[in-house]
Amino acid sequence: MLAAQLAQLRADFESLLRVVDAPQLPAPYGRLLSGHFKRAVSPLLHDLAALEAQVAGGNVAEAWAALAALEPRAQALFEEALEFLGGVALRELPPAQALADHAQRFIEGLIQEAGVPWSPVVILGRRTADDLPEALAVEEGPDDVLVRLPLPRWDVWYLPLLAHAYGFWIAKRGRSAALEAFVAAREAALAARLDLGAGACDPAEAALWLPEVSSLALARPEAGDRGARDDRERLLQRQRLHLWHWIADALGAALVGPAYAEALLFLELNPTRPTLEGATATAYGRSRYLPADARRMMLVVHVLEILDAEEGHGLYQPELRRIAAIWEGALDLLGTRADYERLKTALRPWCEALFAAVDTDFGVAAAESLRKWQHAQATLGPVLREGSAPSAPPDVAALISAAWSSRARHPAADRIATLTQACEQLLRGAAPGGGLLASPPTVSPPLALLYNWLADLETDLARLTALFRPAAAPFSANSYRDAVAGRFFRLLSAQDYGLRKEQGFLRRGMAVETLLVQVAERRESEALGEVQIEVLDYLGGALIRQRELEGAVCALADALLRDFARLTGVNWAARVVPGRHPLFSPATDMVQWHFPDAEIWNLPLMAHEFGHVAALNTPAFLEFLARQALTLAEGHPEAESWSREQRESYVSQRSAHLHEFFADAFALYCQGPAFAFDMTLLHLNPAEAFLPRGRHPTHAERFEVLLTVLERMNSAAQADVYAAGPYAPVMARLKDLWTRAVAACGVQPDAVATFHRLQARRLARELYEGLEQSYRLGAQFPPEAWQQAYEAAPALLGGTLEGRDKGPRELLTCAWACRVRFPDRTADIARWVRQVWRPEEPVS
Amino acid sequence: MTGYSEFRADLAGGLRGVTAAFDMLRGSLGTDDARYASEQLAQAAERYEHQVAGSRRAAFDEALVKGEAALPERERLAAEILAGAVADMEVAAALFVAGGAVGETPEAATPEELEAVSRDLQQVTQAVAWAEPAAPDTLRRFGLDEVPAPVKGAAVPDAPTAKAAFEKQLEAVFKALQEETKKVLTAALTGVDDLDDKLLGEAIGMIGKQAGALPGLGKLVSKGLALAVKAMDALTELLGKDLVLELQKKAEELLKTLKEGGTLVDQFLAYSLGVAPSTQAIRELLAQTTADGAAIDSGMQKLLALQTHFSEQAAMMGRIVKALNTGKKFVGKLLPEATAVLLFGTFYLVAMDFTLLNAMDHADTTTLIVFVPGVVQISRAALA
Repeated sequence: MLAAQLAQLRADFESLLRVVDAPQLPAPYGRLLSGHFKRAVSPLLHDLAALEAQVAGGNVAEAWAALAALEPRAQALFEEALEFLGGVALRELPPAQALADHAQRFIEGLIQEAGVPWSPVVILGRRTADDLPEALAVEEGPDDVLVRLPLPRWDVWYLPLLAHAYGFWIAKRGRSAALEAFVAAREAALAARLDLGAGACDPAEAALWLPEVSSLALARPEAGDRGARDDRERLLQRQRLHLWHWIADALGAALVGPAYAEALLFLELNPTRPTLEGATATAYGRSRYLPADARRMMLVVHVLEILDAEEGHGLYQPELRRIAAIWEGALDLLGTRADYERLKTALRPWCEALFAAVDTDFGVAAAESLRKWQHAQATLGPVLREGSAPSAPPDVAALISAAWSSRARHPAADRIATLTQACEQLLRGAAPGGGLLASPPTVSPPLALLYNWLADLETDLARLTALFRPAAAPFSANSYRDAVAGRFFRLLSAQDYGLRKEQGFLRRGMAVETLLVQVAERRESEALGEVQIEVLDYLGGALIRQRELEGAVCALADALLRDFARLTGVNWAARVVPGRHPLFSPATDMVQWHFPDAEIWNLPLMAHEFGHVAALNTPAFLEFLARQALTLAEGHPEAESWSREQRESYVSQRSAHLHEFFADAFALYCQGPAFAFDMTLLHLNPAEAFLPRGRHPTHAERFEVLLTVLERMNSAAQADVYAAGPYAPVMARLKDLWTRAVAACGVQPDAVATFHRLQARRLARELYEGLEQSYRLGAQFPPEAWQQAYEAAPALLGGTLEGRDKGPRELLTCAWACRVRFPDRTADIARWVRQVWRPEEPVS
Repeated sequence: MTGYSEFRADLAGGLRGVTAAFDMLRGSLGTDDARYASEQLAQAAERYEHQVAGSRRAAFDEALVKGEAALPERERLAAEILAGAVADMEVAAALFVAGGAVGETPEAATPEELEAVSRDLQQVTQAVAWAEPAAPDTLRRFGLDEVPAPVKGAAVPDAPTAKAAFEKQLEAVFKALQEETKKVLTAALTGVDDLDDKLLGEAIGMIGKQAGALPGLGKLVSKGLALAVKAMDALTELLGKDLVLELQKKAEELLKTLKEGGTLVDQFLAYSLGVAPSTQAIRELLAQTTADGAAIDSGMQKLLALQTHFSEQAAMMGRIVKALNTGKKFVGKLLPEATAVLLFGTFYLVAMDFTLLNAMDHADTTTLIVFVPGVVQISRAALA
């Protein structure tokens, strides 16, 4: 079992690398994705190899535990890859494609000014917390050239913030001696404090530290404390990353000008939690490396102030006054200004020192940005205000400067929309359709921020919704889009409903501070983030499927599901796309195939997923479920001490388990032993046999259900009481595999696990009766088929077995029976299946 | 490791969300938007609970790990946990009143009550968010008190004057300990005064135990009760889970004394806080000490700080009791009598226990909890 699961994981890693290396991916991405994921897979492959060595050394129990720890890390990587591919798919949308090109040009402009060569690649994706471990994040890697444009911000507004990525790269790669010296000095001071520990802490240095770094520095751990030593290294690296981000802001402001501060203020910062940073920030979906919003804003304003004083003669003053009024006004309203002012005082000397370092290496570029800003205001400001034709096609950077300046003055939603449209037209080489015309409305500065947030949220929702309208989703077939559109419309409607309420509250004069907090929550809400993840997953999955990057295994899964639909009479037009987990979603009519699995061996799991559909169409099961809900808690060893809520929660969880039991029983009943072997060999973990898994039953219970149903199937097919029955060898083999593996891991059930195992056995017997009642004629697996396939295994490997006349279910049976008999020939067996299985396209 | 600033940020962030959602509900009462606003308030309370839960757990874990840690560290952790309990109760009170406003309770909330809750929430949020700046190495405190710091005395150069000032401050500390404790206890007593005696006896037995199942209630009220239970659990855990029997005994004794009223309460407090013997012993120390004026003055300043600290904490307990009164008013009638008495009775009794033991800790007359160096320890150190 362990060897099979390790092989499966290795195959998944190889498949992932094949996908990201595939020539079918658009040009700039293949190289980037390949580099990124090769780097990310390396430590996992290393751990996998160590695990394989452990198995060879006979440390089975430890190896199972290590595998359980490795799997979530692998899963996180697979999910990241899926999101990346979603971003690649998005780039094929015309507006996103155009924006990515503008982004590339904008960055090239920055590179030209700063004079530090860089070859970045712009990718569309979700705004994510950078959560690479410190040791990896400080190293050079392919991520360093990655520039993320957040979904669905395909307009000019986000572009200034791309300078942050460039600034971060300069700081990280040490391309500025002055900045490198600044970081080195700070790091030396911190290291000295951590190593020597004695004496009073320098408050000036401490003002730069992340909270957890401060805690460690003030705790003065013992030199021999190993945990503290590890912490020391990790936190030194984290603090370095934190400083690089801060430097990136300084560079961003210096190279882009006020547009950087404006984009930061309106798109990124949250005045309701201005001092949130470090480890605590991760709970809010933010990177633990990023400086607090208050730190970022004060530095950016400081850099612009000094630049203006030295070179601009007050040129930036109106912009800076406006920015300060909005930010500080919001902080005042929210009662967070004191924190900002305190930090400002503490950090002023550092802002000055940092500016001096920036000025040393990038002073000329910064002065040039000031002149360009002035020129942009003079040439493009009137164009945007009046809607006139420009004298020459605008430069992206100049347009951004002029557009942000206008946007900050005209915060109303309709003006922002007009500006966005005007920018798009100008970038296409056309004249803007109309100007801002009227003079700017008079609104309080914090209200201007609120208007901007609401306008952006409205635009985001409109763009996400448009992705699922008939004219969109260019690369995926209509049937896929139609299948998921309803679910996305529902998710987006919930966001839209809330947004419209908040707009209504604003119109009716509700306090701005109340709405700032409420809308800030919405901007950063998990719900919106989850929609973005789902969109990217869907797009990534559809791209993989459309380009056949999953080895066409989804087409085989589709064929299998169509077969089940035909056999059971359950009318369901299934669609399979690669996704995070093998999953049936009643909300989308989609089944997910676990990405990046490209093998045939998990195809029997499709029977389990179809089982969930069948459950909803099986009246006998639904009645059974309702009946059982009344008695599920009876006899539970802890039931006596439960409160009513605990009992209700238990019954709800157990009802979910019942659905899983049904799906397992159904899959075994219809797909036969192939499903039982797939589950047992590739998915059950004996070291965690009794580990509760929330809405899913324990592995011990699932095995109990499999075995019980198999026993019943065997009894029903016995010729007489003296015959062993067709499934006797299968049962013996599975039982032996599982019980020996559990014993080797040394795990024991407690009273609750024993109760659940016995209950699962009883439930499985009743579920079997329900299956007999509903599916015996038609969908039931033919009892003789497994033994025949087992006997035909040598012919399969010898190339003499005819497979073209077999249906998908029979082919999988042949494959698994052969694998059970010849476990070392999995590649040959899979090749045979692919050769003989030619799924027909469904009639649409 | 928890830290003052992280915990404060979590509390302030969560409270801001609740305050905003509460105000949104207040502004939409009587309109079609009230249902949406009440859902937003329930969600904000859920987020608050989620945000604070992690750092609260971390504070308890840290307290467990530190064990016999240095006093300032324990004092910080106790202050964090107490501040969290106060914030929980303020949010709970807001949910009870909001429940009253949207028809979840038989008692309807008046506009004045809604306004008062909004004010209280804003006050607590600001108190948490606008804490005093402090140097990295110094201990920092929450500003959840409503008590202005006593005026600091002028520097006293000579020993006799310092001794006189010390003695005066000693009397002031004990007076504050007795009066503030009595104020909170009396306020809490009004909460249990009308409860059935027999059921109240059972409530004593519920101290330190898990609250039983609650009947199905409205979303806001249910969440409010869940937060109140959490706050009381935190107070009990802060006192010590292993002290349940002592806490029950203490509550019984306190209840009996408070119900008898009159001078008995003062006598009980004077006895519990060791006012006479401690004063006598410290006076003797004061008479015999050879410490110079500066050392005695420094001790006097510490007593002054102790008095302020206690007043802050008594004010926080006062807030908890006020929130309990709100809960009892809006939810009390919604629950079956026995459940209401067991639930709220236990809450009040835990608050009383905490108030008394905290005062005794400040007076150095208990070893059950030790969060601060109290009057006796400070005096001995200064006058040695």
